[in-house]
Amino acid sequence: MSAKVVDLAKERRKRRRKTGWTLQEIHKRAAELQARYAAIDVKEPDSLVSGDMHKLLQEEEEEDDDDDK
Amino acid sequence: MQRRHLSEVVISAGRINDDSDMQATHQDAETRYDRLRRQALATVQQIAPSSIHYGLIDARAQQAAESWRSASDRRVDWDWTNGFKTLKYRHPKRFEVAVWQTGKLIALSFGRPTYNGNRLRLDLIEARPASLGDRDSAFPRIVVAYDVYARLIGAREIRVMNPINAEVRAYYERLGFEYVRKGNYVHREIR
Repeated sequence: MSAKVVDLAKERRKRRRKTGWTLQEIHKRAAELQARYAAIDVKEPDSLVSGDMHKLLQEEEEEDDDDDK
Repeated sequence: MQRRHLSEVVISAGRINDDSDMQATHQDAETRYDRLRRQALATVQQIAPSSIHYGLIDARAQQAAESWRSASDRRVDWDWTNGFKTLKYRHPKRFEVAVWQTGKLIALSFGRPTYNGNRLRLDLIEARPASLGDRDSAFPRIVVAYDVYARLIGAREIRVMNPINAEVRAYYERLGFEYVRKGNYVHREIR
């Protein structure tokens, strides 16, 4: 009988999703993400805007994301 | 070890009989998620340079955003006072952030988890118009804050909705987000 092959990285990710993140882990990930962004040499557009406030205001409460319901 | 997960912050789903129950449930959610919002902002504040301050969209931030109205290069006519007041009431699980640089407001953002909490959407972001003075990049700082909040609530993905133009979209892609034409958003997984 052959041994079961397990993708460790995938299994660890699954476990992480089940248990959530500790505050220490969150802090560490935030610092890493900030450092990653700091290393990217790109100028932010002057027109940095996303979204549509008027559309949001027209929505009914809790009418979030149909594909999530 | 202290762990935070959606299961800890799920709102009581008891039967809602009347307006007072509805208000109590709403207030409960507001209180619970307000703690998480403040926790997220405190976390990113710890790793921010001293010139940068993270805060909620409070009266001071709203007043500062009023000055954006006069900018000829402002791209939207959003009302961060009355419009945000409505959104704030409707969405107790929202994430909100104001970013200040050396005492001057440089960006505001509002987002909310999706229905089942798997995703966190960045619904609105507006940076200070360029004509009102130079500023540091705001989006990376805001996304780091969203990343923290997403982990606190157990979300697995961040979506940035409706980039205003191709230049902004390309900027998001440069920072590791993937564009989805259907829905007009960029996203990345929380890993």
